[in-house]
Amino acid sequence: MTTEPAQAPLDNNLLTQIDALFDLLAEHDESQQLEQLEALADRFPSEAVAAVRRLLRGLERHGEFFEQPAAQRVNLDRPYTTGELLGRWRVEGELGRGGQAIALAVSRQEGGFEQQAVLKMPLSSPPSPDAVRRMLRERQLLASLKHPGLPSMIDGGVLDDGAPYLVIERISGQPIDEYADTQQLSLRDRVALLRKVANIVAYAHAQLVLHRDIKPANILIDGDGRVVLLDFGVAQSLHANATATNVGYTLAFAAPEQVRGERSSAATDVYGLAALACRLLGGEGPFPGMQASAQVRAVLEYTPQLPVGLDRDLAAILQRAMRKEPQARYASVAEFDAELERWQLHLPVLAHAGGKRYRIGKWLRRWRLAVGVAAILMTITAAALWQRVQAQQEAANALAVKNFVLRVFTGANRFTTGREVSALELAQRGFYEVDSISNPRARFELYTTLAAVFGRNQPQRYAVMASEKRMALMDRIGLSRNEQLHVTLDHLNFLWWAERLAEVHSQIDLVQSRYANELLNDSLARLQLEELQINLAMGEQRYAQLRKINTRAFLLAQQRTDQSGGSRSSETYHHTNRLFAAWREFQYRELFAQLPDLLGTLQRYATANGNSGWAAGNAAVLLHGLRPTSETERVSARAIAWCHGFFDKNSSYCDWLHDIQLVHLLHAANWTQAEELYVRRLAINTRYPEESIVELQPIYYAGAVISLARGDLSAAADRAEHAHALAITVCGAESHCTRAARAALLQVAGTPQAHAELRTLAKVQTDNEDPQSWRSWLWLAQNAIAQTDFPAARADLGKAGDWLNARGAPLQGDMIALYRQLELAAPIAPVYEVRSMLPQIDQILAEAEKLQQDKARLAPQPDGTESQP
Amino acid sequence: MKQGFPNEVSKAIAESPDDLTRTLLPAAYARLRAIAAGQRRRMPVATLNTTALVNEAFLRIASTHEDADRERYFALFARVVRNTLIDHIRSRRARKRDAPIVSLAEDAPIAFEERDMDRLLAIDAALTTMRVEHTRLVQVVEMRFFAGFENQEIAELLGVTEKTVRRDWLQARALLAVVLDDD
Repeated sequence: MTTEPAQAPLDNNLLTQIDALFDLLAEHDESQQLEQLEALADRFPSEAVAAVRRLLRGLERHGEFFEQPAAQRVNLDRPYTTGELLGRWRVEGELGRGGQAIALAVSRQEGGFEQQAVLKMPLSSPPSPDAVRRMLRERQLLASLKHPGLPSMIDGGVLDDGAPYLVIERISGQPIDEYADTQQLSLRDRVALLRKVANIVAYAHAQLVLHRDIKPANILIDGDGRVVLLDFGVAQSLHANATATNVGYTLAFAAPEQVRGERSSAATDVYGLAALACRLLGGEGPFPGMQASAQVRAVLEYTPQLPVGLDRDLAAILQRAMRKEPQARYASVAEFDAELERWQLHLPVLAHAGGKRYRIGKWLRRWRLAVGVAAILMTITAAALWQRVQAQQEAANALAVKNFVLRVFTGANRFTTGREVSALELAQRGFYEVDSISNPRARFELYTTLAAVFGRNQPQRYAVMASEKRMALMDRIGLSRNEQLHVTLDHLNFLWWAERLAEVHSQIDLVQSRYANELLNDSLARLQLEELQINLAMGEQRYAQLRKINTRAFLLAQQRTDQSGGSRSSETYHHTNRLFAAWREFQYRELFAQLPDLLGTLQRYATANGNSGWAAGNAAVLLHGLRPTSETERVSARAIAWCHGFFDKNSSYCDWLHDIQLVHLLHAANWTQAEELYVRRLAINTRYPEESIVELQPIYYAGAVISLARGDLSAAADRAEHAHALAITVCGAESHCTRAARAALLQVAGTPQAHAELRTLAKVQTDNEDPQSWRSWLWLAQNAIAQTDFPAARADLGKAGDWLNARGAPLQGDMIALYRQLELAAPIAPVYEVRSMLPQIDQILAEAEKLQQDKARLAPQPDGTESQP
Repeated sequence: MKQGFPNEVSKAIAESPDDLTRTLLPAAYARLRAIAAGQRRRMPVATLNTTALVNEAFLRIASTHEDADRERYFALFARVVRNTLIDHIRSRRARKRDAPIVSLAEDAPIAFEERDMDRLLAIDAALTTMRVEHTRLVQVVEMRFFAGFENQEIAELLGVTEKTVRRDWLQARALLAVVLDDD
């Protein structure tokens, strides 16, 4: 047994014993040493034997590591000395080194003058076979590329140790990013510069060579402004049999497929160019300020960070060019370049992609269409509006913010009364002043106010701009997640109003991923989100589905215990949505069943609900159109006045009233006034066509109906064609609006064959319960009369009349005369009791007007002092 | 009287070998490269040339300084080779750490080398600890594993039998293998 004090001397002894064991073992062949150890075991202490056994077993495992000298396991960097000759080239210094290659500045005397160049060679000496292969490939590639934007190869050879080297033109210049900054290039100049790089890359692609490492350091601008793209060291042949994927690149500018180690393509360089553009147009790479590991993740998963405040077309181009999936990017550098050129020429760019918007863009380019406002926006929610107005009031109460508003908006009293100087104009002036305020909270509030002021005014992009500023600030001012969610949802609304569909989609994705918890707990938010999705679905105008989603959202909102906020606005929103859906489908019976609910809701919340006047206004105009009397006219006029006063006449909120009026004028067969209104509606939105494409479609259809009725066939053909093209663009090839527009086209064509086709189409429309199917039957009846085929005319007219009558809709103005002409009994039109609703609307409007006056009282007096509310 | 070099050698080895180390550096590099080349080209190790080189250098010194210590001279040379290689690995590490650019593709073929470099750094650290108890074992490792001398050359240089070298080499490797188990 061993005792503590004996431990230390024994250890020394143990070491001696171990040494002795090794002495003996060294006599034998290495393969037999373990065996020999056991033979010696009884002559030595067991601890010593055990220790040596352990050591020998360890050596058994790792013996191989010691078989070759250590230096064979390490690549040694190539030494060089300044002044040394490599081939005919004298080394001047080192320019840089990568993992496998080193670049030296060299020169030689040639015909009496000194030629400067870059000598590139493998870094390791002796060179690894891989490094040799790369160097030879680069040499081969450079020899095949002859372009002023690429350095030319001057010389090449083999060094003493067998390493190939190549000598290329030395460009003395600045890296492109430094150059752009020191020259203080404008945005347009920078884009022009970017295009030069793109052209070089496109040339290389045409020679079937990819670059795959496009980054600022690889692009030099020399004294003459020549742009040169360096370093095809990682370039890879585009030839189909080149399968190598394992190639170097710079992570900060690398495309996702490169990080994943997948095959590169032309789209990889498209990505690289866009990443370069990020740096060039905004000062930073796509994922700035990240550690390498975080960058790997960012490249694979995150949306690249585009420069703040970048022009939105350019932003869209870069977004498209940096999509994660290579096939979603521009297919070639040439396409990318063409987009930049379009931008330079102020032409619409294709980048606002994502299905419909992309098609709309193409369509726009083809026809150079002037577009109008449309009824599709009828489902813009009352809830969103209420929120907006509330936001306005909050801002007005924030003294600091308000003072600023007053200072910036000269004659701010007019801002509120909104007459001589438009609110929009003032807000636009104010917009550029906000950034001068240092307090981010105040800036946020101001942008909130501005977004509300821009609201539904054209161009919508101002509201989006203000909203984008809010989004950028919200992280900095400590908003709760729920508040952030609402800011984001507001942003969604603004984007939708501006018809930036691609961005709407990406924002919806963002909301769903980032605010998943808040969405579950906040049914109002959910409601709003769904409302937007409905709006998007409206592209296909599926009313049945709209109603279903609407009801589901409403029920969700009802579950909220907080009755004061969410359910109030959602109730209004719910009823308004249903009302408009019914109206669009000519479901008048349902519409009238719905009206009391809406009015009741509005009445209950009118004092607190900013949009009550707007919803009531729409109801009033609707009623007037259905039963025009002096009393309905009075209420309707009051509603219109309120809307114009509250929102500004040019606000798109008021377009609603015009849309309803237009439909009524069509129904009343009041073609002259309808034509006037149509022309006005079209003109309003021609100024900002890119924001109004979705809205235009039903307007053009209405225009086609009007000119057909007026017998102006050439105008009818033009409008029907527009309506049809837009319908396909917005709603797809098979939708009720597409069929309606096609029916109009067939009716314009007027040939017997077209009429036969129209008959087939009318049947399809009826089967699908298309809202405009009755009009096809009406046209067929008119055609039959022209052919004096009265039985057919009677049958067709009957179908049109029955269709409308079944829904409780009144017959169209001209139809009554047709029934009489064909000696056919007209169906009895339902009579709706309108009178009882008018006082209710009056009352709601009175509350809304009071709200408006309160707001006016908050406004400053001309001398700048404030009156007390 | 002129200061004699051999005294310098002895003194330098005992105290601060910096100057001498510098004079040995080119030979050390040549040695490392010759070893690497032997592996790359699948040719017989071309270390003989460099051994001759080092030898010649020593003989030049010895011709004027009779007390020049050949054993210490070669031991120092082997140490310089070891330090040179380890410094090279460290500087590559530092360059990699500092480099903002990461080249994953280049990493792939280098990954094996990375692991070997880790092991060599571990062995270097272990040798530094071992020097206290097993000075000669460390010398043998430096001369054989780092400087690439054959057992017979080492025996001759150190003035011991080849069997002793073989024995030391066995024990040294067995002790160092423990370090490799850790990775």
